[in-house]
Amino acid sequence: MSDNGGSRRRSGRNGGLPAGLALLLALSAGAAGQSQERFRRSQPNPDPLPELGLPAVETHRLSNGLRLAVVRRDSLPLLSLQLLILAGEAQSPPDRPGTATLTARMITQGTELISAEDVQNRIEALGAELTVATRLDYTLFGLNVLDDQFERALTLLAPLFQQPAFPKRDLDAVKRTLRYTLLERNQDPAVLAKRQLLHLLFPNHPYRNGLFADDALRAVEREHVQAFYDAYYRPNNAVLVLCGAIGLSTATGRVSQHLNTWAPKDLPPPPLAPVLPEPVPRVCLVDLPQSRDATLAIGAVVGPAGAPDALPLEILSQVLGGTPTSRLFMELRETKGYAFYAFSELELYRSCGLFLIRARVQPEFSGASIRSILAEVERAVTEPLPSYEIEQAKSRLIGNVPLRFEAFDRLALRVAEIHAFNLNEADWSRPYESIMLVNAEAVHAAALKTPLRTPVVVIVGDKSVVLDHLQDFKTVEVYNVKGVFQYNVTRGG
Amino acid sequence: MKETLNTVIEERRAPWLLRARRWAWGLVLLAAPTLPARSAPARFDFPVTTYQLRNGLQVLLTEDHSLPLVSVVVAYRVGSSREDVGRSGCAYLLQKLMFQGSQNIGPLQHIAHIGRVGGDFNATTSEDLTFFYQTVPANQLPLVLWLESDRMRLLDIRTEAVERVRAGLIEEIIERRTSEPYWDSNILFDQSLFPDFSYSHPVIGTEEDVLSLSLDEIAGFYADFYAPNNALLCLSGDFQPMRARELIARYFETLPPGRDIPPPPVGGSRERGGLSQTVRNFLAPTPGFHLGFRIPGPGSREFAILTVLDYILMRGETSRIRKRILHKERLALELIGGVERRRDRAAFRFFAVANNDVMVERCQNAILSELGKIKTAFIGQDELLRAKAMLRMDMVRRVSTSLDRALYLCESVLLQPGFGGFAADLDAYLSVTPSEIIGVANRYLKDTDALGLNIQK
Repeated sequence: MSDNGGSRRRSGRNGGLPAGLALLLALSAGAAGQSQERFRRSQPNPDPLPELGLPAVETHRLSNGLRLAVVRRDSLPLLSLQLLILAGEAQSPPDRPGTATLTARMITQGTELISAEDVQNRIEALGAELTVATRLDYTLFGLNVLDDQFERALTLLAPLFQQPAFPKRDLDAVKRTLRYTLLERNQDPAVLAKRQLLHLLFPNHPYRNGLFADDALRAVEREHVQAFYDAYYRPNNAVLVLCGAIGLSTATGRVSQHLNTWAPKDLPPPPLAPVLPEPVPRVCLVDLPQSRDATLAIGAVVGPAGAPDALPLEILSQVLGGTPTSRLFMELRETKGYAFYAFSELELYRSCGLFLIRARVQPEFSGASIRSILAEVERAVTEPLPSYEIEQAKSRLIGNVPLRFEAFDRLALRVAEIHAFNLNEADWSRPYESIMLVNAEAVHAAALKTPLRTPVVVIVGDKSVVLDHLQDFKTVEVYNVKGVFQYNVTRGG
Repeated sequence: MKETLNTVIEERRAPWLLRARRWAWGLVLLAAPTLPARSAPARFDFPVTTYQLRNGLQVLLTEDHSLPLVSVVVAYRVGSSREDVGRSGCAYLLQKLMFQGSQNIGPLQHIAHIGRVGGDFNATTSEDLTFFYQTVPANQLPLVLWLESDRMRLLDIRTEAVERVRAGLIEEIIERRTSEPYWDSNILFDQSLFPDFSYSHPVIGTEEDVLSLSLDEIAGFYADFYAPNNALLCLSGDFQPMRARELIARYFETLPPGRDIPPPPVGGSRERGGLSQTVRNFLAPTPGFHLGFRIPGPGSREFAILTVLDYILMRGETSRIRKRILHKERLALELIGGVERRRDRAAFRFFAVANNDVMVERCQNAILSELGKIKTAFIGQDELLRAKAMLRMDMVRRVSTSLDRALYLCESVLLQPGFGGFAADLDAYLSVTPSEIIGVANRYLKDTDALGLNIQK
């Protein structure tokens, strides 16, 4: 229904400039360019690189072992609080994946005296935002709150970590909600591809079940959650990071007042990191009927967070597929038109890392896309990268440093990760220098050490379409959507 | 933005934040070139300097030297509301075309330039405004101003680029239509709430309209609206004002202004009277409904009061209506809503889906019953404090990075009549009283004025 759409003076056909004249004007910009100022013709030089004055991180350890890190930022009346528990899905019992995730969610469900509804009421009364994220190596509780509400926030949080109740009724409700979330998440082909990749790259390793299926939750009961909490939710296994308008002494006083009674306990001995098998190249197809596209996850295991090769590999990843102008994107999307996207990234965990290439391609180009990706990987690993590409990647990483630390919660998260992974202090205090020091030789040497040339390839797509386009590969392992092996397709040759 | 999958599961317990920006649009042209100075009732504020170039470009500068970063936003006073009947999607198409190259920048080179220096970029189009924005290391300010000035007036509008963008846009429209089962009903209800064409067609456009847009029309739309005298440039972050002014003058001062664009007509339907419609939607997985009321637009006292009421009723899981419908009585599977703004008009609207038609009816009755309670009893102090605490947090979060701050300023200056700075803006909400809420609810949320649209399977 329109009442006055035609009554107004408009551009284009119904008003404004006559169309032909408008086009002439717009295109005449090109002609006018003959007389444009010279400075418009070329990219300007940057101004001098500013100092990156990252705020200092002040630390203190409470008598119960809780590590407190404070990053003072006075620019906003906001405090970001991140409590990191050094236990994640890798610590879930192998036969009960999801225990870490459920435990974390149950923490926010209250105590004997505070119901889950009360917790929600009190969070909203603070105007706060509480987030819970369970990752492979750690669990992170984040609370963003206005600085004048900090005391009330601590009053709310402290009992949640010290006296959680884990009532069965709430556990069932949380399991139900989580199950719906997982069902939805596990319809995403990118998640399915990553889940299968973790399964195949990390057999007999705690990272294997990092992305667990919804039916895994059935095996987790109240006593398992309680046991996980008892083992890992200890102040001597936690780091509390505060970022905002607060100093260390004030923070220490207030945090001590609320969390000093949290009792420490000996932690379970860390399991020996299992030896990973020698990398063998594999091509695996996860059948997702009626999928319109093919989603690829191609990966290889690399060193852990903090390893000397981490930064050279990050630069390699940037050159290969870090951005829409990197090699993979340009080759697969812009040049060949196979892909909707193609990126690479480095994920670093505590005991190892993952060099991941991910792409979404047209199914009829599945095989050709994999060949192109593997060819680009071969070239990037065996041929030293040109210095201009390395310098561009370094420039991008250097320029991106302050962006990554601008939001208080992201700044606090980075500080928490430095503690979680025992990273080098220079990673924080001198980020520019660390990146600047990486040269072409270091990148080449790091690339040669990786098993990137013998990766595991996972394709998620409709097998009735995709299999026909994987004929180049001698053996294709076929899995169902739950990741259960079905059969091999072997071709002669 | 790259997606990451290393988060196993992430839970966020503040869902109102996700919706806050979605409902925030509208436009009124700023008459005065500078922001009026007002005393700040809240303790947090940030200074803003404004001036105007000879070609009409408005400039806002706000410094923050916490980190060596600068965000640059160019906001054009154009969105889908400026499109003609039968020409929907033109503004959104132009947003995408602005990355396809200009006189001195090759196709997609804008993205490449920003990426190479480690910056972030994006663009958005709404009913009223189009934003182009980027955050870069502070020393790259000249680069961004060079890039933005080149596509202001010097866009390369050629058939090949237009066809590439058009094809992508058609694909996006089809994808949205097929993946969002309530898409059509949403547009239909928009037509009830905002009856003139300006605000009742989708920003993304329709397939037929986008296909029929000619090169001439696109060029004409660009010539009219993407000009310095129809734009606002905002710098936020770590820059030296003198250097910034020098660079802005260098890159923008000599760009020719466009023709004077008459402001869009003020108004829109204020007519009262309820209306209820029913549509059948076989694609919808479950039945649902839209329910809404027309309310006064941004900048009015009533709008501020109804925004606070939005927090009381619909923001957060313990808000009155969400708590009752989703948690206590479990009448609906999904419920969203609140205040939705356009340039000079607004609506208080709800959308819910339920298991069956009976639950739909009970859910509608529950909403009307909760609105009835608001009209007859004062809001308790705790409940009002909770709403204001959430609102205050949302407002602070809206200005928590240099880019957030620049976007907030552009939106507020262009869309909010009498905008007097952050602190004054916040104070307008924090000063709302229980008696004001009762008064406004009785005036604007009458059962007899409710507009409804039932979706049957």
